[in-house]
Amino acid sequence: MTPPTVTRAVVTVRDVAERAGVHPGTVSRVLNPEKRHLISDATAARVERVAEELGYQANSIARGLRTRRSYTIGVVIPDLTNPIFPPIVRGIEDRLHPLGYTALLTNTDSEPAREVRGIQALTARQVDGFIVTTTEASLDVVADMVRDGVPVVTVNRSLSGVSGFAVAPDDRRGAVAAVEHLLGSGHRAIAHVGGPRALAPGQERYRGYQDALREAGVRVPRALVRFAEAFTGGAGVAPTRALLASGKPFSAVVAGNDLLALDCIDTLRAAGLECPRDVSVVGFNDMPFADRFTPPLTTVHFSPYDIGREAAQLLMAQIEGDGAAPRTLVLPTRLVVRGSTAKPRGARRRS
Amino acid sequence: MRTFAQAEARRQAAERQLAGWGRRSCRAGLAGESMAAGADQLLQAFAKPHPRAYAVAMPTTPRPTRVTVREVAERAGVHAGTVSRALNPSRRHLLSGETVERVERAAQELGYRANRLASGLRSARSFSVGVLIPDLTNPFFPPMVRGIEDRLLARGYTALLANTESELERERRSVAALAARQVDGFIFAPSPPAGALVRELIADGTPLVLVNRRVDAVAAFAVTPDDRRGAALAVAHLVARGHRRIAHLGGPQALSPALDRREGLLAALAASDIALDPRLEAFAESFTEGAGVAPTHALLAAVSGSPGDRFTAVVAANDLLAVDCIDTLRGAGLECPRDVSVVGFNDMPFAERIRPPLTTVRNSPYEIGRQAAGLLLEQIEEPGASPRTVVLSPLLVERGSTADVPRSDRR
Repeated sequence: MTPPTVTRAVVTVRDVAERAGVHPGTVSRVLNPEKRHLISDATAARVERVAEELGYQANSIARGLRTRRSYTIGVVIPDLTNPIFPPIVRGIEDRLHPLGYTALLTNTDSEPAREVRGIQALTARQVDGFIVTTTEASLDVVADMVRDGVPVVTVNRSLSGVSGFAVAPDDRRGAVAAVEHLLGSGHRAIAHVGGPRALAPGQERYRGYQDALREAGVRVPRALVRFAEAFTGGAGVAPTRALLASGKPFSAVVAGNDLLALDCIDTLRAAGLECPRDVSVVGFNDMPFADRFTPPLTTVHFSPYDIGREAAQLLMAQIEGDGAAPRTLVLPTRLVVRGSTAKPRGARRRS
Repeated sequence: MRTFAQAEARRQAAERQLAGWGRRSCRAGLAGESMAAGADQLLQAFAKPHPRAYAVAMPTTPRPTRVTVREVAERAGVHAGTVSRALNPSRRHLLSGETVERVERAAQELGYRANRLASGLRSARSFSVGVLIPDLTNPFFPPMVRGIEDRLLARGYTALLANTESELERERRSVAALAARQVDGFIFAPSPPAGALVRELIADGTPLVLVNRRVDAVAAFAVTPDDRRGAALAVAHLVARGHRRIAHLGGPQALSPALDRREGLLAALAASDIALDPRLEAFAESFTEGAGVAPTHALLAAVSGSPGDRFTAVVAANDLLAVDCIDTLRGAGLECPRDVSVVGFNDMPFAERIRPPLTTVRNSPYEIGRQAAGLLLEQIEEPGASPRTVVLSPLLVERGSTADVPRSDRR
C-alpha cells in the first residue's frame, strides 16, 4: 500500500515548514530578505531547498491574508498549583476569546522534562504562538523559538540574553519597597530567602533587595542571603533553615515570593520564632487569600490578570504581524502592609 | 520473542521522537530525507500488535496499515468515529446516506482497507489528552490537574488543558481545538448544558472520562466524590457539637455536586430528626469567590426579625463560599466560630492557613485526577470496556471554623 499523497492546488508556507521540519514562522523569515539573517545558514539552506522542491511561490497577497491559522495558542505554565497562575490564564483568555482564539495549556510542574515535552506537544500541534513562563529548563527552548520567529511572549519572567516579547511585574522596585518598609520599621538585620537566581524574578528581586540596603548604607552578612531551588511551596524550608543555622541574628526576611514566605514563617515557627513577634516576613505576589493567612501576609502586589491580558495583547500583535520590535512590558508593583511585619523586638522594647 | 512491555517501551520512545519532529509530517511521508530514514526505523518499532494478541504469541509483528481511519476521516471531513461506523455494516444505519457515501469515497481514494487485525488496534495515537476544566481559579482544580498529569506522564502522555468557564460555547470550541490536535481522549467536567456535547463524544467512540460532575442518562466513565456522604459528614460533625439550627449555603443547583451536597445534607438532618427551616437555606449563583456574600446576607435577613430562630452553624457548598460566608458574618458582627460555626467543602489548598483554619469536607482532587486519568488510559489502550463510575469517599477535616454550639443557643 502506498502512503497517501497530499495534493493541494497551492503550496503554502506550512507545507514547506512541514517538509523542512521547522515552524512556519521560520520559513517566512528565511524567505523574507529583511529577516533572513535571523536564521542560521543551515536552516535557511534547508528551507530554501524544500521550498524549491515543492515549488513554493511566495505570494504577497496570500501572505497578508489571515489564512492557515489554527486560532489556538499554547500557554506553558510551570506550576498550576501556585495561585498566581490561574488569574494570569484568565487574563490571557479574556483577551483572546473575543478574537476567536482558544488557549491550550500545559502545566510543567517546573520539571525540565515535562516542560520541554509540553512545548513540543504543542508545537507539533500547530499552535499560532506561545505564552510561556520560563524556568531554567525552558530558557533554551524559548530562546530557540524566539530565534525561529515563533510568536512567543514570556510572562512573569523576562528572558536574559534573548530579545523577545515579555511582560513582567517590576520585580526590582517591588523588592526595594519591601526592604524600605522594613528599614522604616527599624529593621537592620534583614535576611533574604530568594528565588532561583537563574530566573529573572529571582535575580531582579535579589537586586532590588541589595540596591535598597546599599542605598541605606546597611550591610548584611552574606550568610543571611539564601536562595531557594524553585519558587514552589516547600522550597523555602531549606534556605530558612540555613539562615537559622548560620547563627547570625536577623529580625526580618524578604522572601522571593509568597509561597517561600509561608515556608519561611512555618520554619521559623518550628524553631520557636513567631512571625511577626520575633521575625517580620515580606512575601511577593499577593496571592489569593494572602490577606486571610495567619498572620495576614505583608507582600508585594501586582495584577497577574493584567499580566495575562498584556501578554495576550503582545502575542496577538506578533501573530497579526504588526512588525513592532520585541519589547518588555513592566507592570507596576506596590507593597501591601499587613500583619506579617512589625517593628523589631528591641525597637518595641525601647519605645 | 520480545515481551509486550519491551515492545511498548520501544513504541513509546518512537512516539516521543515523532512528536518531537512533528509526527504528522513523518506519518504522511512528507518528512525530509534524514528524517524519513529515521521515521522509517521508528515506524517499525512502532508496529504494535494488540496486547492480547501478543500474549498468545505472534510469529511475526504485523505492520499497521499506512492509511488510517483518521486519514480517511480527515479527507472526508468527519470524525474518526464516523468513519468506523460508516464502514461497519452493522452500524452504518446510524449515519445519513450522504455521509456514508462521502466516507466510502474518501476511503476508496486513499486506498483504505479495513483490516480485521488493524481494526482491533487503536491507530495513530497522539499520546496527548484533552482536559476541560470549568474554572481554573477554583482551587479545587489545579490539584486535580496535577493528579491527572502525574498518572498520564508515567505512561508517556501529555495533558493539554482548556479552561471553559462552564460556558457551552467555550466547551465546544475547546473540544474542537483539541480534537483537531488529535488528542486520544478527554477528561471533562462539563457544564449543565453540555449534555449533548458529552453524548456526541460518546457516540463518536471518543475515550472520555467525566470528573466531578454527572451527566444524567448517559452511560459514561466518571470519577466523582461521594458528595452526599460528604455533606452528611459535615452535618454529623455539627450535630455532635450541639448544633441544631443549621443553615445551608448551597451551590448553583444546576450543577450535580451542588445537588448531591444538598440531598446529603437534607438526609443527614432528617436522620437527626432536624427539619431544615426553609428560611435557613440560600443558594449561590456560582461556586466562585464572592458568590457566597449575597446568600449569606439572605440567610441573615431571613431570621433577623426573630433572634430565637437564628442559626448557629452553616454548611457551605464549597470552601470559597465558606470563606465569603465567614467574612459576611463578621461584617454583621458574628464571629466564626464563636457565634457561628462554618463548614466548607473540598479542602482547597491553604484552607488550613486562613483565619480561622477551615473545617471542611476533603474531596481529594488529586486522587480524582489520578483515577480519571487511569480510566481514560484504560479506554485508550484497551477499547471496549464498559463504562463505570468511580466514587471516592470524602473525609471531614476538623479545624478552627467549627466549635460547640454557643451556651446561649443550647436548648
